[in-house]
Amino acid sequence: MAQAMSAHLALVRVDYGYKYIKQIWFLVPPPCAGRNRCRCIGIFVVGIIFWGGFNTAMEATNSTEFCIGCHEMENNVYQEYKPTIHYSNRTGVRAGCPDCHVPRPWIHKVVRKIKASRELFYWATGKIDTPEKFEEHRLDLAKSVWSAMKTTDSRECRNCHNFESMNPEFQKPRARKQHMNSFETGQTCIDCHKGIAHHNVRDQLTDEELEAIEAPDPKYVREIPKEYLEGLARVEAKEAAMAAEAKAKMKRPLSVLLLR
Amino acid sequence: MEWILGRKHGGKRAFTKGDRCVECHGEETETIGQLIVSGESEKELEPNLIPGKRGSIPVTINATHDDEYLYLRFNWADGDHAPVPFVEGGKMDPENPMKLAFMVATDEVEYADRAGCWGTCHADADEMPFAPENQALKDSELAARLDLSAGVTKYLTESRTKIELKGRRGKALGGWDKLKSEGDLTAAMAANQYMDLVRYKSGADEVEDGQIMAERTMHGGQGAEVEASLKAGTWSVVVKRKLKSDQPGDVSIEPGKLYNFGFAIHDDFTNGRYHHVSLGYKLALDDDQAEINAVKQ
Repeated sequence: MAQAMSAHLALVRVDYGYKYIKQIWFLVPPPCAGRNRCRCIGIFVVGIIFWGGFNTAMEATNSTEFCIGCHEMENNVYQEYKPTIHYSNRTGVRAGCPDCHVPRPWIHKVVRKIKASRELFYWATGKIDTPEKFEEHRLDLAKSVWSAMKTTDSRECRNCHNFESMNPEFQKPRARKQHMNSFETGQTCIDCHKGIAHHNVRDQLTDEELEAIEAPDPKYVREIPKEYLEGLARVEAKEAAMAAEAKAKMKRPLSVLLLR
Repeated sequence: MEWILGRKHGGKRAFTKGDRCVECHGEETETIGQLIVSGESEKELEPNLIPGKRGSIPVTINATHDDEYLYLRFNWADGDHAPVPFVEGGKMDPENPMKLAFMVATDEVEYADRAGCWGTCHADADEMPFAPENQALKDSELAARLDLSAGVTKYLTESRTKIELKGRRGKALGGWDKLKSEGDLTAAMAANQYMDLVRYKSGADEVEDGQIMAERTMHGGQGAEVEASLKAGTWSVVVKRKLKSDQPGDVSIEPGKLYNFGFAIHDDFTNGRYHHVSLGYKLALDDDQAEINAVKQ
């Protein structure tokens, strides 16, 4: 097998005029014998160290503690996030900074980290190092996150939330209705769920920006999950039975009024 | 309507698509009402708070008919008096402890199928945030065509050439001054684009019948009979209205059709915009699909 590969490489070299180019041995390893075997092992070990080191370093930057190591984050967005349900809730599941702001798929994570290196420059130059400066740039920061979420069909929301395990039996009628609409028209999480972990600056968007960022995208039209439909049927049957029972007793008001 | 179709309303897109208000809000009016009267809504819905005001009123409606008349009985518990701090004496309308009104419309009226009465309420109506100054009303050439003596009243979208929804560059929301021509208004009335309105005042024991189109007009209909009482802390208002009418501004109610229905209560001596208003419901004769199903007796 190894001989056959060498022959093939030789042919390729002749065909493309790379007569004097040495075989790229680390891409197509020759048989490991003697020095070559040692080389292979060395590369393997170095690879592990490099790969492990790289990932360890990357993961070290992938924690809430790391994010709030900068006072810009700790004093602003972190304080806003602490009273929200993503920080503290009845189930004890916490979504930290990277859960919402860093992709989980490796390649997307690396791309995000490379892009985030810009933030080091802004940190060094003190772009948002006072509350006033942070507020000045808050809308741009938010728009950047919203735009990324919109582009990826709210991928980071779906790290934890997914429609298959979303049960409308535990949702208010308004949420049920809105989620059904989102399936049918192609809305994504961030279209409606802005400002849920930090101060909401949606109001500062222009009408055009708002329309663009919240418009349904046909790409995101999705089939209504079977589990969702089953849950919907259960809750509607339950409510219909309750309404019928109350109506029979003539105790349930047919309508409730709002003050305007 | 400017709120419903505005950028702060999370259900704007759903409403525009055709969803009814009651589909999302039917089970949460108590919560929303409390948010409004307490001033706790982050959307700043009510600037003039009345301490102790209840945010919602559970109302029971019984409906029946005998092929000639429609009978509606509204029952609800009277609330504690909550003095209005910005009105001398604490009562906006001392003559009337309670007023009840209801509207009926066909689907010819835009938004009536989804919003009921809310389709007639605008941001530039009297006491609303964009209500024009009295002088602007007096100076307006529309004063010859509309009764502006009590400010801008309810009106339908069909009666205006444009209604400002976005308020860009400081523009006032609404469209009170964009009244269509008389010809267009007459055509709209002929096309059933109006909401039939009946109102009862408890103090004067008076029933008014009118309609809403270019403005609220409290005359012109066939009228109705109303008996109201407050016994053991419960209001009971029984309305008897002919199903069919040949009067302009009235909606004739026929079997086999769904009508858009909404009602409002001025409780505790309130007046103007300080009323409780229902979501839009469906009214029909002998039809289970309607929330208010008048069953023949």
